[in-house]
Amino acid sequence: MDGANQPPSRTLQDERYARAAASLGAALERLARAYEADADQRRDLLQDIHLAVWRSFARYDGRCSERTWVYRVAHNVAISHGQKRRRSRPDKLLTLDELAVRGDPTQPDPEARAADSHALARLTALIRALVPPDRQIVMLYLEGLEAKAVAEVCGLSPGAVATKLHRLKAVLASRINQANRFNQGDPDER
Amino acid sequence: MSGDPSDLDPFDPQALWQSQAQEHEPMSLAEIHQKARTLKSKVLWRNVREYAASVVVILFFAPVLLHRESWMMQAGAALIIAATIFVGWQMHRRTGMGAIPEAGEALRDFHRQTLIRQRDALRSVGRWYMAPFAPGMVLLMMGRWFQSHVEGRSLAMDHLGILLASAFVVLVFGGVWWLNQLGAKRLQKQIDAL
Repeated sequence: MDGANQPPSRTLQDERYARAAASLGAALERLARAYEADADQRRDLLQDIHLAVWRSFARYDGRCSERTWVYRVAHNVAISHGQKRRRSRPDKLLTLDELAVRGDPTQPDPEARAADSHALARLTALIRALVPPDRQIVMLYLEGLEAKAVAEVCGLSPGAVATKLHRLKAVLASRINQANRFNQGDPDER
Repeated sequence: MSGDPSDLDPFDPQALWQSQAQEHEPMSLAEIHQKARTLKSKVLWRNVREYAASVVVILFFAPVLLHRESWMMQAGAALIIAATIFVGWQMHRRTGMGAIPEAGEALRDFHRQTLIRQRDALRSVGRWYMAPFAPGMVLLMMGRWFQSHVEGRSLAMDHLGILLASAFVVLVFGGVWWLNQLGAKRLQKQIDAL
């Protein structure tokens, strides 16, 4: 970030965006992947997220860390995208608790069927099946954020997030283990 | 953190998740600036389209203002034109009122605000979108019933046509209102679940 080498038009907004894109670009792409299964729509969503992050830095006031800010903006863009998409394709989404007690929602998903042995495909399908508030907590956890940081991004109490995370880890382990046992030919799972 | 996901411990979901390879090249600042300009022009054209739709309605009803044998129809057309302008202003105002992702609000607050705004818009659609057209529509129909008849058609047939047209308008308005109320109820369930 050597200011002397920057073109004069590069503003603080640009600087902040460039820093965020460098450190969180991969996370933003994973975020888009968790919200959107269609490749073309996903590319558009990712571009919209980047544009929103850049625009948002014009009003960034330091009330939270840049990482928290970027995650908030990115998820909020994805929520809006999901709302528009669900109007044309109303899938039934599940809460974490529903996911724990119901049958596997990923079975009808063509992506999961085609690559049934692929744990990552199953994980992605599980995330896409969740209602947005639970999906956000899952994704922030998967990105390695601590419960306190997840709570700050989501606007929830750390206690509520910790409870959800505890439940989430159990559900993820159970679902992925179940799939692996099935694929490895465990007769109990057949 | 990218690599072959099959090499990773499938029971470590964080490592598995973060192992995904990037599909897309990061956008350059020049591309971001270009996209921002495109967005600005898209918003401009969306506004132009909305105004154009209002202008079409106004042009459709403007000739009725010259219909001198029926003051009711003239007044009805004037009220419909006024309602079109009012509803256009309401839509413009409501578009700018919503929470925007760029404000960096916590996810729960943003989601809640967005759903509440959508619910309120649907719930009150009768008040801000339909009711403004009602007086003009009623006056137009009354003008046709009492003051303006189609030449070469019997009065009974003319009145039957007006009744059918009125019933059609009421059905369409009622149907739109009912669907909007259903949508508002669905949104309320989502708000309650947050």
